[in-house]
Parts: sequence; C-alpha cells; structure tokens
Amino acid sequence: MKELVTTKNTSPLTFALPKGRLEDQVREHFGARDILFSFSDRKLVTEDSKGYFSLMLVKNADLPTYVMHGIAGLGVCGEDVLYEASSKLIKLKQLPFGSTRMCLAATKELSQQIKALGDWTSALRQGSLRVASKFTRFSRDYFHSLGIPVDLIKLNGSVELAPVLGLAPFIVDLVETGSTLKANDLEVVAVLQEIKVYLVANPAYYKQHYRRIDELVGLLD
Amino acid sequence: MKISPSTLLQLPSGATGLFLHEAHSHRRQVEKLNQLYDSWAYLPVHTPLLDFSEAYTGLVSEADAKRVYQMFDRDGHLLMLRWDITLFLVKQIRSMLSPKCPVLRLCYADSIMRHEDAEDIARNEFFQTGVELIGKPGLEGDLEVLLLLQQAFEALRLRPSVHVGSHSLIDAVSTELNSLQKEELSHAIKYRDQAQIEALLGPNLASDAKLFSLICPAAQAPEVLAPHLKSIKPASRDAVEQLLTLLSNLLDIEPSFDLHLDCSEIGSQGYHSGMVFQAYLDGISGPAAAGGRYDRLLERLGSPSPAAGFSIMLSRLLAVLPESAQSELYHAQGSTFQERVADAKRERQQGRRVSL
Repeated sequence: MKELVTTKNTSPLTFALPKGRLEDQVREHFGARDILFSFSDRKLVTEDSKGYFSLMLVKNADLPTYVMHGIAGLGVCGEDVLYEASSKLIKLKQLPFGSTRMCLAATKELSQQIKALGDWTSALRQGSLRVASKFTRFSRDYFHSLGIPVDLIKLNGSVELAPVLGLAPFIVDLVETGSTLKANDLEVVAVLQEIKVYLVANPAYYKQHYRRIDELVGLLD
Repeated sequence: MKISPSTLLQLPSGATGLFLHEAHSHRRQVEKLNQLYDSWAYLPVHTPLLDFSEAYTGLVSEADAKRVYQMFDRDGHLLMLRWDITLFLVKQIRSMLSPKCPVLRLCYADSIMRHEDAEDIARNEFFQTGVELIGKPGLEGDLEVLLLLQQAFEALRLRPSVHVGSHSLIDAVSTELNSLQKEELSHAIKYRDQAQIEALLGPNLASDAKLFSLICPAAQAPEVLAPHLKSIKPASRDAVEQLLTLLSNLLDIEPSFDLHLDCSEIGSQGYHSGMVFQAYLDGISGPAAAGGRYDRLLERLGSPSPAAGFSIMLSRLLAVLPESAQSELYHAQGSTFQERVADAKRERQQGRRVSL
C-alpha cells in the first residue's frame, strides 16, 4: 500500500465530507487504500487512522462554503452542489463513484405527450416553463442556454410532490434509480446533465499544500 | 420616517470598517510596513476615492465591471469608487513621470470598495498596503519588488509561500483566441482544469498547455522545466527562461525565500504582463498578497513606462499574525490615581502601552 511520504511530521490536511450517501462511498474508497475513519458518538470531526486528514462531516449543500472559507482545505462534492454554490474551487480529481443524472421530470401523462412530439426542447418552447427544483441556478442557466424562459419555484426537498400536488408541472432533480419518480407516477422527460463527483480544493489551500495534495490524488487512483 | 433595522445593523456589500483592537492591530502593521517602505525609499501616495469611469475604458474586465460601484456627478459624468488601487494610482502618477525623474517608488495603505457576492465574502480585500515601482524595467525591477515583498512579510513576522508565474505565458499561447476564449483559458488555468486548457489550445499547442500544470519549489524549477523547453513555442520558451532567471537570482540573493515556480499563476488583473505572483499563508482562505509587472498599463493611459508592484491583503492577515506581534496592554498599578499616573509614566517610557 502506498503511503503519503510528505505527510510525515506535518499537521493533517483538513477535509470536509458530505453527510449521507457520499460519506459512505468515500469511507469505502479510502478504506480500500487503508485509510480508515469513523465518526463516533454523533461527533462531526475526526481523524483518519494514518493521521493524514482531519475530517469534518458537513451538510452536502454547505460543503463548498466550508472549503471556500478555508475551514476545510479539501472536500468531496458533486457537480450539482458546486454549480449551485457557484464555487470557485479546484476540481482535483473525478472520483469513481457517486455519479448521478440531473433530469427534467413530469407526470407520466405529460412526459409521454412531450415525447410524442419528438424533440422535447421544441415541445417546451410554448411560453414560460414552470419548474420546481432544489437546483434553481442550474435550471435557470440550463433552460436559458436553450432559449427557453423558465419560471422557477425553489424547494428544499421532496420535489416529486410538486407535479403531484399541482405546484408545477415539471421538476428538475437528481435521479439515480428512478424509483422515487416511479412511486409518484412521474417519469424522466430528459436527462439534462450527467453529474460527477470530485475531490475539490480551496485554491489557496492547494497552493500552500500542493505536494501533499498531489500525493493524495495519486494515492486515490 | 422610521429607520429600518437592517440599514442600522448592516453595511452595503463590499463595505467594512475596523474597530477597537482590530483597528489598533491594523494600524500597527501599517506603521511597520510604512517604516519598511520608507527605508527602501518608497514615497507615500493617497489615491482619490472617486474617479471618472471613462478614464478606465478597456482596463476593467467584464467580471470586475459588475463589481464596481458607480454613480453620476452633478454634471452627468459616470464615476467609479476606488476598487483597485494600482489603477487609480497609475492614472494620477503618469503625469508626474519625466525624463528627470524616470523612476518612481511609491507606497500606499488604503481601502478599496467593490461589491462582493455572499460566496466572495472570504476574499476580505478591503484594506490593502503595497508598492508600485514605476519606470524600472526587467529583471532588476522584478527582483526589487519581490525582495521588498519578502521583507514586508518578514516585518510582519510571517513567512508565506510565494508562487511566481508569468503572464507572458498566457500571452504567448492565446494569440489565436478571441476575448471570450481568453477568459475561459484564464479561468481554466487558475482552477487547474488541464482538460479545458488542452481543449482551448488545441493539439498544436499541447506541449505549451502542459506548462500550466507545473508547480514546484523554485530550486527544482530548472529540472522540472527542462523536458518541456524543446517542444514549446519560442515565445513560451522566452517567458519560461525569464522566469527561471528571476527565480535563480532571487534564491541567490535570499536563499531562505519560500519560493515556488507556479505556471498557473497568470496574474489577478487584466493589466498584468511579465512576471506575476501571489503569496499564500496557512490559515488564510485566499492569497495574502498579489502582484506583478504591468508594463502595458501606463502605455494604455498614454504614458508608456514599465511598472511592477504588489498589494498585501492586510485585513486577511490580522487573523494569523503571531501573538507577539500583537501589542500587549499594561494596566497601571497603584492604590491612588496619582500613583497609577506615575506608574504609567514609568512604563510608557519603557515603550509599553499603558491604561490608567
């Protein structure tokens, strides 16, 4: 197993982890490289078994803020969150897990009507598109890039409810298996973007610790 | 009329103040630096708070233009608030350049004001101190500015890593790009997006594109750059060779300088040319100082003259100054006011700060 040579006798690198699904995948990925860690007793800060990292567990959407302010120098984050936070961070490496899709979805009935018309973008150019989403910045920029006006409703969770309850006919959300959509009688109209997960760094932190960070990137291959 | 609490409790975006101990510490650091600048024969300048926007046409990038505060005067002229000290300073100083006085050494400590989005708050660049060396071209000018930067941090008892690159490198490779592509290239270089750099520069400049990922301690720079020199454009090679000469001279003069070759440093301002640098310190989320050469700026303002300088982001440093650099306060001793006054007088003569 490779070791981080330049980490000896230095303070650990600060690393923010997103709570939830990605946390487990990072733990597994690091574990396969003999870097072990756990958060005990509801604590949100820990160190790994090798002393490479001081890890902090933060809410997914807050992770870019912690990294941008230098509280954590490094982090693991999806493109969706980075885009919403308009983060100016270095993407050091795409990680081989956690990928998902940003999708436009609607009720099955509406979705099939659109699909029957062929090109979904033409079908949506009928006035302003009403969309509910957690990802309002992404949605606005995406539809504007297609020349489609969009009327956005910001939601913080359970976005699938919006078409079901009549708040908005469309939603833009991350779709992994599609089971939540299916359970609510919704379906994907179009995949807007593949969302990848990256190891990210605060630019100034990278400059200060580039030798150790480059070694880490090599270790994570 | 009722005053809304938010106007009493908040400041407009980009505005800030320093108060009490923070202001005291700030003033002490400025004094130390002013003393240093004075010992290097740099004269102080105070730039105007407002100037005509028109004078800076073509010098403000699209991104910066969105952050500048502008207003109209009574005659309908569009004005801008001081948002970049170098620009405001150079415009004023250009009329003072003359054959009799070809080199000007200037220093400043001022605040700037520009809009900052919530995500930019960590920038904290409101108070800056720095120098401008006008009229001194080439290697000696570059060396003077970088050595003074190193001395400035030494005066503050801080030891940053200084990353030096060259704006000439991006000039060399971007001759075929339009302004939007140049902006995309600058962004990709700054955020080390190598795939995007290579996509923008194309296969003919694949070797030049690789340069932008190079970063290493200055002492290793010749060895790291050697394999790249044969396959890059002559203009890129010239830029790299000038950079190597600068780094080796700096290490000869000041071996303890924590210097790094960093080709992703291409300058924080659109007016940069030649060598550029940023200084980084542990515990600060952005650069602690930035600077470089800007030989073309005075020419664009109608008075061609080489120039170089740096700004130290003083407000950022306050959080990481060594404890001993902060001034300790002594409370005068004595059971009566008169005794405390006498004690205070004695202690003040020893150079202490004393409160009655």
